[in-house]
Amino acid sequence: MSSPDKCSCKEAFAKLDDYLCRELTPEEIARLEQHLCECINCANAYKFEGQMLECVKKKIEQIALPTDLRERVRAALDACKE
Amino acid sequence: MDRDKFESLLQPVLDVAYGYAYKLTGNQEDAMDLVQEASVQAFRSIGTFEEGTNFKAWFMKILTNKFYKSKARAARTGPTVSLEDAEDLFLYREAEKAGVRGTADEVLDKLDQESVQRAIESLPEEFRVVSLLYFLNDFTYEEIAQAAGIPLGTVRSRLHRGRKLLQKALWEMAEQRGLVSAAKGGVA
Repeated sequence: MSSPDKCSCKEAFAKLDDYLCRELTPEEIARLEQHLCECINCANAYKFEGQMLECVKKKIEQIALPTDLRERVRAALDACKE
Repeated sequence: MDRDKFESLLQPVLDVAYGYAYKLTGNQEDAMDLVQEASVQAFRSIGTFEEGTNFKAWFMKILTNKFYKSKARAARTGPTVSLEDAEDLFLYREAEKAGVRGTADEVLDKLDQESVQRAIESLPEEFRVVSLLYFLNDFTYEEIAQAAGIPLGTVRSRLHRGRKLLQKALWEMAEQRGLVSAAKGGVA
């Protein structure tokens, strides 16, 4: 049984989303990363999930803004002012 | 706030706003209309924007609301991934079963940009909105909550479930393209 101040696999798993979204406090991150150093199963799962998110981010990167959109927006704002 | 100041805030977010609008509506013309209408609405409502706060999240909220009320939303059809939840760590476990160990890149690198895009498009709308706000803007939970107009707890649960559904959709896409074969075990 893990000691009360140590992060368990269950807790690590529950914090996966918050960790990847950078929503944990520095203390929570430190406890979690300590666990990841000691548990290869959790470390592999975390690494995989992180890579998956980064890969999706890269693949849906910004598509080019149509050349006339900025002008269209300016014209619409001009019209709105009048 | 004067027009110049407004434009100095608006212009830097137009690229990402257009990308978001495109992925919500699924086509260029509706996306351009949506960005234009949201810009006009934002200009008219600028008095409600608190200077020094997050303009991008504020603008994305207007754009999201415009999308919810738009004809483009009503007209949008297409296959959606089954709402039957995938298990947690779905892709990780499937990849492991298929003999892909250690790296998500090995599976996802084989999927082209269009396939990943289609997997995101297949998410039911409530999950697509929060997922796009996360992937495109790298928003925090709070910024997503503001932009999508939903409570923080709902952001957390929709991101979690959206991520599982996305993994399921990505895996199905990889299987359809013959990139992985879980039954046989291995990466094609």
